[in-house]
Amino acid sequence: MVNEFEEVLSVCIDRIVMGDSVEDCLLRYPDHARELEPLLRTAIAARQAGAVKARPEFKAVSGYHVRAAFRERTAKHVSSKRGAFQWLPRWAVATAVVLVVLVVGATGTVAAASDALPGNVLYPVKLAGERVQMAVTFSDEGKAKLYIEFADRRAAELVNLAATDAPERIEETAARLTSNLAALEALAAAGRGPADETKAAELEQELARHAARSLDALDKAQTETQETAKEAVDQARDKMLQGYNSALEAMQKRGR
Amino acid sequence: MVQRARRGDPEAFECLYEASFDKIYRYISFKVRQQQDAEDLTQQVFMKAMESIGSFRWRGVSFSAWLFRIAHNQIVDFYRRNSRRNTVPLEDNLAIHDSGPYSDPEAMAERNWQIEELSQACLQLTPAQREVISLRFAGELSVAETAQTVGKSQGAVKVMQHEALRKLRQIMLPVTEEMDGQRV
Repeated sequence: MVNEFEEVLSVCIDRIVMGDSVEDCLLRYPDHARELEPLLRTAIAARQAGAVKARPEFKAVSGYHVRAAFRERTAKHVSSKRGAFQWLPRWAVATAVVLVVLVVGATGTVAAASDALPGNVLYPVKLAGERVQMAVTFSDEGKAKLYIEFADRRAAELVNLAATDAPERIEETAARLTSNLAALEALAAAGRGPADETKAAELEQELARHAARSLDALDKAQTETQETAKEAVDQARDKMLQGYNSALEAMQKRGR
Repeated sequence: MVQRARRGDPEAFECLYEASFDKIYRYISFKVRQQQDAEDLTQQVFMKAMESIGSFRWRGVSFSAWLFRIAHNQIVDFYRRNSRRNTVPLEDNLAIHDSGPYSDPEAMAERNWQIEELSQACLQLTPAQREVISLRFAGELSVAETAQTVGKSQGAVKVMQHEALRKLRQIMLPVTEEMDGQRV
């Protein structure tokens, strides 16, 4: 049976996690203050001791592996569920898919999707196109360039979304941006990318230019941000800055 | 987001990964205290989650609680496989880095010492109390999520939390007194 003090202690710990001080809690519950204070100080000590951060390079590399495994697993799952087309040879299915893509492309759907923003019906087509592009790019240099390009697209989408009342879409787009930059960082941290030093330096400069331009554009767009989306845009900017910095740092280390 | 990840949406799984990574890493580090092991186990947890997410059902257990159960089981397996590691002196087993390669060595030594003190003190708690402390303070789970993870009622978690903090206070009195001056 939980007594009143245990309830109060629990509430205070939650409040401290959210930013209240021990003193705030003691003022709120003066009758329990004497018993509460030493336990809250111990809770803070436990929290501080537990506040360990992962190495950024591990986080990036691990994320890259987990994402790659998830995509591979999903692809296998889909291919094992070919269902109605199972009787067809693989080459015939591949040819049919290419034809469908060409036909759809010819009608302008794929082209139109390139300007789609998150929330738009064509946006999944845009992302699917990017996945196909990445899947058929085999060189590390090509992949690095694509990650930079896709990150730039996500940044442009964020700039467009900044003036909308769609905090959830802003968060999702910021997560996609982080993911592209983390993949780039992981590639660089693993010593992969352009084999040529000059090309590597050019790529690094290109990323730095994109980062500066995107941050500047988002800062300008923030003046039109609605109150409901303000927090999401602020967090997106932090993620953008952190993502670009980490990727640049990894590329610089690789170049040394 | 969880439903989308269950259906195989990689973007949704990425979002869940981003949202959970730091908490899972902290929780594991708190329990295994060796950087390489913490990193290996963290990656295993997400690989396991990726393999099993299709079978995840809400049934009163949140995604966080489900993920922390996976982490808990991975740690149990880890200690079972490496039972001799338990006999390694704690001071030789500490190598957790705080903020990457540029952190202040003195601050890192201080942090490692705090973790050491707390780890020693936690050994005197019951396994259930230790789990509650790890989940609440390293994993930053709410009482409700902690209760789901350990399979107890919220009331039982609050009682264990109180008892555990009271014991830790007695054991760590000099440490917390020193930290009282620092404030959060």
